Amino acid sequence: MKSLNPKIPKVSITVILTLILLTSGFLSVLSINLSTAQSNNSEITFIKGSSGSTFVDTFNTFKSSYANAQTIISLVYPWLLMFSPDMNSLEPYLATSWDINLLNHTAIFHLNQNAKWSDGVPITAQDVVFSYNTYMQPWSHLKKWTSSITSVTALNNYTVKFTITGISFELLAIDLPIVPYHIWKNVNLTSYSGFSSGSTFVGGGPFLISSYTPSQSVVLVKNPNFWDPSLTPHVDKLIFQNFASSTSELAALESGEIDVAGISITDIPSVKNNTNLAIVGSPGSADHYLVFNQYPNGSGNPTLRDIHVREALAYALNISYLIQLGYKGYAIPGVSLVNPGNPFCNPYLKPWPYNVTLANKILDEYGYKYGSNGIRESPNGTPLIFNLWLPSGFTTDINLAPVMVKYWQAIGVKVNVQVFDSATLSALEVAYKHDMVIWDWNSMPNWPSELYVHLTSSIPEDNDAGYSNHTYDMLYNELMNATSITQAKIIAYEMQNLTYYALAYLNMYYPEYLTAYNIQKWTNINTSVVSQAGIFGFAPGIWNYLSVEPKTQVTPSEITPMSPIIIGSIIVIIVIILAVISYIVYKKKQSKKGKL
Amino acid sequence: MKPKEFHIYIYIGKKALYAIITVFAIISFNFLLFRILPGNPIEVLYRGAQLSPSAIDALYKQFGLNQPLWIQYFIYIKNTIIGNLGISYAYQLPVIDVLFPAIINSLILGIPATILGIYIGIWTGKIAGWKRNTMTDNLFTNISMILWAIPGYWLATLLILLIVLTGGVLPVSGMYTPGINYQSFFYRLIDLLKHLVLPLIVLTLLNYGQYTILMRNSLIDVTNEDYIISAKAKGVPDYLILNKHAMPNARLPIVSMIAINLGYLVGGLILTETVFSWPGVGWLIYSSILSRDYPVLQGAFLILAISIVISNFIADMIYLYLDPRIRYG
Repeated sequence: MKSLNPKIPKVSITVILTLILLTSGFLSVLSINLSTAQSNNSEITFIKGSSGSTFVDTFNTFKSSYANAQTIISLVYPWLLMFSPDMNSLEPYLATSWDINLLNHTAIFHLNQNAKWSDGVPITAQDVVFSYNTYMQPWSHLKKWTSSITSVTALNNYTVKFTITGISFELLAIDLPIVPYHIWKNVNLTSYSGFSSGSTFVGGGPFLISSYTPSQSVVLVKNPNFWDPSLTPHVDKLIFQNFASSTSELAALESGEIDVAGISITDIPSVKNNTNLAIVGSPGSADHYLVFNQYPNGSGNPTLRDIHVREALAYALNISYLIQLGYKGYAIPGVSLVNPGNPFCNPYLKPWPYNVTLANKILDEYGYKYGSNGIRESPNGTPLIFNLWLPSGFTTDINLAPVMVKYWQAIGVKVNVQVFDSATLSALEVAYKHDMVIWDWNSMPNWPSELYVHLTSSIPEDNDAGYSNHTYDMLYNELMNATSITQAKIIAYEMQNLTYYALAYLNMYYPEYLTAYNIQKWTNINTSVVSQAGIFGFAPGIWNYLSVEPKTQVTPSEITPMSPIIIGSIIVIIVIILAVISYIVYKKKQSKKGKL
Repeated sequence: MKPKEFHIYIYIGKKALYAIITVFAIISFNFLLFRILPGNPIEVLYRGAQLSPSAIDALYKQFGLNQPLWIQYFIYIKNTIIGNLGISYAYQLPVIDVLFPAIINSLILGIPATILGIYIGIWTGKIAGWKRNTMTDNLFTNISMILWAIPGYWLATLLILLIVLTGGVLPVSGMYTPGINYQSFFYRLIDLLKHLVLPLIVLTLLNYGQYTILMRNSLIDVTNEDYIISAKAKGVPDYLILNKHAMPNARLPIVSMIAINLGYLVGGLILTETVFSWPGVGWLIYSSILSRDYPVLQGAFLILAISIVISNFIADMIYLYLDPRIRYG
């Protein structure tokens, strides 16, 4: 069929009109400088990005488990003492002097008498006693941090006495946030969110919570009544902004929307190409381990209960190569659950070496002969075929898994790789259905707290290897009651010795926590801060939030506000254009009607 | 009551009943779906937190997970009916407080994107259909096909990259600039519009293709009808044939597609919202899946399902109005 005459519509006036309107609106929006939107545009604002599903659970210090929330809480409430940025010494904060006597099992703290809450109420011993007594409640998420405290009492308004049982008090319990008793006594402690919009937040740290938008952002402002001049921050506002994905977080960093962000290995080339940004690698605290299921009642391959099989599997892996390949060198080989930067990490243990010959020799020696299909079998005929399971978020390790499979192929072991979401994998592990799993634990920088994982009492929740050793359990109790750092170190070393040689885990590597920040805008950032979550993470990160300052001060005169006259002119121009077009359309329609 | 009216009421009643049954089935499925999966949210949220058994028990009680499944189900049904969607595991806030702002945010992005998509789609589809087998038709159809086929996250990422390379003329994420004390509502609106530009462009480009193709095909079908040839033979000008004779009939399939697509405005923008960190229902669903936040997921899926059921119901009603065959049985 012949097509109809395509004379019309050559131009759709309405579409042009719409496009003009949209373009004008778009240009108007672009031209308006938002810095003028602020009531006080000379404010210095520092923005830290984060991404993922765990932004802020609660601002209730007794119940919070998320890293961002804990960092924010550390900034708005004071602690008794602070660790130095390198975590090697204690420095005064709320307590100006102290005496920790492990032989007498007492610790006495003298509080700063000028310290005040943001509402002007003095910070007293009552606040400290209330906070620590609450931390010691069974429902508190930080109870384990206070396990070395027997009691806490106020000797007077500004003196607090703790009865303690071990050195872990000094390392774990000393920097817990203190909350205002006069506020918190009136709330239900187990359900209180710690901040509610519309009410004035009362804190005692260098910052105060100003606003919170769930899953999006938390805005902190400088505490105008902060009582310690030596810890006064240089920025007026501190914003924690959350992103749905690391891709948009990186884009925001690169476009200058945010000032600092954690980045992944795959982001490195892009960040390195951006001259505005610098990358800082912090000593890794996440132990990426390979767990062998050796639980006697588990349903995994039983050959993994044989230490010789585990040894062969460990010798067959070239960890250094995996680090280079997957982590571009930004990871440190591990030896135990205690990260290599932690003073409690056993310095005498060395990463398992790569030695295929030895691996094959061990298997030959202990009767694991090759079957007809090229896979070894145990003396009772169980083939060395294992599952290797990984959580879906571990992208780099998932990419490395095929390489590991090839390493194990070289010793006659077949491994099938499968990826699960973390909840499913967790359920499978608790039921001991796995053979091998790669996962991680985050360890503390100054205390070997993660050694609890291999306790018999941690079966089944966290002890995914199913490792059980009475001596290890006894040593853990001794560790918690150690009366000196030296004694604690000796015990921790011995515990790591036991698990290292038993291959409860193969602690493969500790990837570095990579932080990228804008070096064109910001200075005075201490890149040697030791923290589990990078140089801006957790309590040690507070040092950087306090010291960071802009390279050039932003003054109101530098910003040219867009006058209402310009905005008005844009609107008038748009209206005139619309009127002219409408007139033309009207005239055109009139003439067409006339022709008909 | 006249037979015709009776027939209409029966039709409406049937459709309404189907919608109610569908919603109830969705509510039940919604509950079961998240619980038949292995693992539980407490394990995920607090892995490695070294909580004491008392603290873990308290969390199970707080979220009602200590009850048998069938009791959890009845509590869920009862609470859903009275509008209580539970407490979010991850945010520790009532689900409705988390969900409601997200719905509004999704609509702020979704409505203009849909309107623009429909508008551009109908316009390009109309031209392509009218000028079929010409260069214009090929151009519009191919562009629509390409944009319709492109993965949304790829287009979004490309756009973000472009913005970053051009010095960040527009914000690439979020809905507002955090921490700004707006002097007036005007500045707040401007900030919102700036953040809206990129996701709006992406969604519009992704959306309009389907309307173009449908409009084009529908128009081609209609222009083959005898009454169009008659109109042409009578000397009716082409623009009148197109706008007064062909378009009213060609629009019918578009109407039902619009009605169905409107249902996806709430919760159907997962990829775009995730890439641009737009705090809508899509992002909420994404993050809640990662954290196994059952109450939020249940709430979000419920809202999504209800909006789709309602959209379908509306589409049925529009057809009742537009199509006499349904009215007269």
